[in-house]
Amino acid sequence: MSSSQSVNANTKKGADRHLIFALGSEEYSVPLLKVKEVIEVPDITPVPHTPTYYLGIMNLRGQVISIIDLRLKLKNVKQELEKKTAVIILDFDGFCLGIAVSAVNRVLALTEDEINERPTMETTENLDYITGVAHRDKKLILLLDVSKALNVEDLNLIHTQKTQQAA
Amino acid sequence: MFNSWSLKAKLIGAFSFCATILAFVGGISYFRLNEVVFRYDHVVKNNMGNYIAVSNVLDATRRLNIMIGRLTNSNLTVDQLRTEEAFLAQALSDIDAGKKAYLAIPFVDGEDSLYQPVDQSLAKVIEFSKRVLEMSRTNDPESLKKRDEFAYTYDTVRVPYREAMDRLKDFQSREADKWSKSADSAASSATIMVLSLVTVGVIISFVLGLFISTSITKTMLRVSDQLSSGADEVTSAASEISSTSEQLSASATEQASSLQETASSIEEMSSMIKQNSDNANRSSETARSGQQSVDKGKHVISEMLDAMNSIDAANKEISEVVKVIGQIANKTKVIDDIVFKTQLLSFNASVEAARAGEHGKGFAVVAEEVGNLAQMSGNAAREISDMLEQSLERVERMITTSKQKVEVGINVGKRCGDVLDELVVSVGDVNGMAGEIASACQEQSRGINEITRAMTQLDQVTQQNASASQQSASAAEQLSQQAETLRASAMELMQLINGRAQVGMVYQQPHAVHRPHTAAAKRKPTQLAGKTRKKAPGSADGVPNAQHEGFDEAA
Repeated sequence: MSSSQSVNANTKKGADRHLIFALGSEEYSVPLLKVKEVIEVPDITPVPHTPTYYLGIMNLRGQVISIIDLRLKLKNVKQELEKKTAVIILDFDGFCLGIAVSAVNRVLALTEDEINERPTMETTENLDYITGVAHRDKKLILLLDVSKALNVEDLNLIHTQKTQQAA
Repeated sequence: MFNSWSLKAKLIGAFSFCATILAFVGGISYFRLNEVVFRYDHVVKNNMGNYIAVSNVLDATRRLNIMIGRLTNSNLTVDQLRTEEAFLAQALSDIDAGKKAYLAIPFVDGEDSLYQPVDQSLAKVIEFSKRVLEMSRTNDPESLKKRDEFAYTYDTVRVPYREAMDRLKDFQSREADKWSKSADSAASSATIMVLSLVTVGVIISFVLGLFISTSITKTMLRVSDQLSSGADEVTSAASEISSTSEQLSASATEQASSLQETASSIEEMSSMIKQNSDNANRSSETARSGQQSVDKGKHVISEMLDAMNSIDAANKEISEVVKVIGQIANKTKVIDDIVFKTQLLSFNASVEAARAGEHGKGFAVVAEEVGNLAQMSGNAAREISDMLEQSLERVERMITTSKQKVEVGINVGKRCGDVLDELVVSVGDVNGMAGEIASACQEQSRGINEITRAMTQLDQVTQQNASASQQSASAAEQLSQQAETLRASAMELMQLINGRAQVGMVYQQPHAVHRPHTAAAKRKPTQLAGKTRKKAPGSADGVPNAQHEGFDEAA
């Protein structure tokens, strides 16, 4: 029954699929099409002279990928690497980035009705990386654009990694 | 010194003093009166007698004068002569009588020298008269003439006699004056002396009487006050004795009843002591059986210790079970890992299905289902692991508590053994003590016999006490009556001292003196008694009050 329902939901028009994950107790989501892979926490090689949220680099089937502690980045709370901790590999048009999250929960198809505009918030920070707020089962889910969440320095760092890799 | 005298001595002394004064005054008066009487007697007997004698002699001589006068110039007949002779004889006898009377009275100094001339001149006068009469016996005128001439010379005899007689008379008159004056003065001085002595005696007697009566009255008042207060005290004491003896009698009665109760109690005690002795014997038997029971108990305790050891072994087996549970938990972790990996796989499958677009839709559903199954099995594994943890905790708690309990049980068992050992000793002690109790019971029964004897004596003494208290009650009544008598005597004494009118007032005063704190309260009745004294003579106010006070004190 639930499977037929979810199939129906997934086949709805205008329904986008999202991967729901948790940072601490809050739930966030990224579009499923941006996700390349979900893996366990791999062996991470730390890189000197990098910010604290930059955990290091890893080897994914011959490809070197940077891993960021998204919780530390967004909420300034360090992510403890434990059994449930997973790393989501995101694909940004060619180059990949790993983000460590507290837990990967499920895959959801969210219709446009379920997605609301980002509300106005009292902050000096740039909050463009929050693209919207979805509500499901009385819980709110923040929709993230991770590329916007990473600032220029990060992007440069990642780019350097990529160019080094290319070289 | 005066106070040390007896009342009799005082009175006798006072009266003898008065009598002495009286005797003194009387003696003085007697002697002075005698003196006066003597003087007056002298005046009457001597002076007046002399005076009268002199006057008689003078009268007789005057008759001689008359006779001579008649004879002169006369020629008398024989009858006439005889008459004249009788006349002369009469006069002469009168003169003799007067002289005798005068001479009978003793002479004083200087009287004799005055008397002698008188006597001589008187003799001459008498001679002269006789001669004249002799000469008249003739009728011869010549001789008569001679006689007349001779008669004319009468003055030569008469004048000296007259002068001597006047001197004697004057002397006698002076003597009489002197004696009467001295008698007068003696009388007046005696009067003054007696009067003054009487006055002094009266004053001294009055003062002495006042002093003695005051002192005696004071003393007797004090004595009667003390008597009356003593009577009050005796009355109260008597009533106290009476009440005390009543109490004593009552307590003696109570004592007698208590003694009876005690006697019955002692009988009960004696029977109880017999029971005690039996019980002591029985308890020694019981102690012996108790010893056997203790031996059994020791067996039981060793069995219990064995059981405890087997429980300990069972606990070790249970800890083996705990190990098994830990292994199960490890297996559950493996399941968890598998679930996690399956979930990741399902997410990756979803990603791949999304990449495949329309063609991957079915696959996406499958992937989701797999994810859901993985979630469910993950939840189940979590529940199992929670339950395992809980049961593990519980079992561990169980083991620790049962270990502790077993340890406690072993300790308790060991202590039980110790206690049972002690119990063996104690039971032996109990056995000995029971024997001691039995012997003590025998001694007690001996003591009880002695107590019973003592109780009998006590009973006798109590009866004696009761009779003694009754006697003392009757004695107290007698005492009270005697106190009443004493009070009456005191009242009588008061009446004797103060007279009937003042007794009521005087009777109140000792109370005011003896009890100063009630003086204010007593003042009114005293004044009342003073006011009613005139209306109702006697002690009607004082005595009943005093009696009430006495009873109040006794109460």
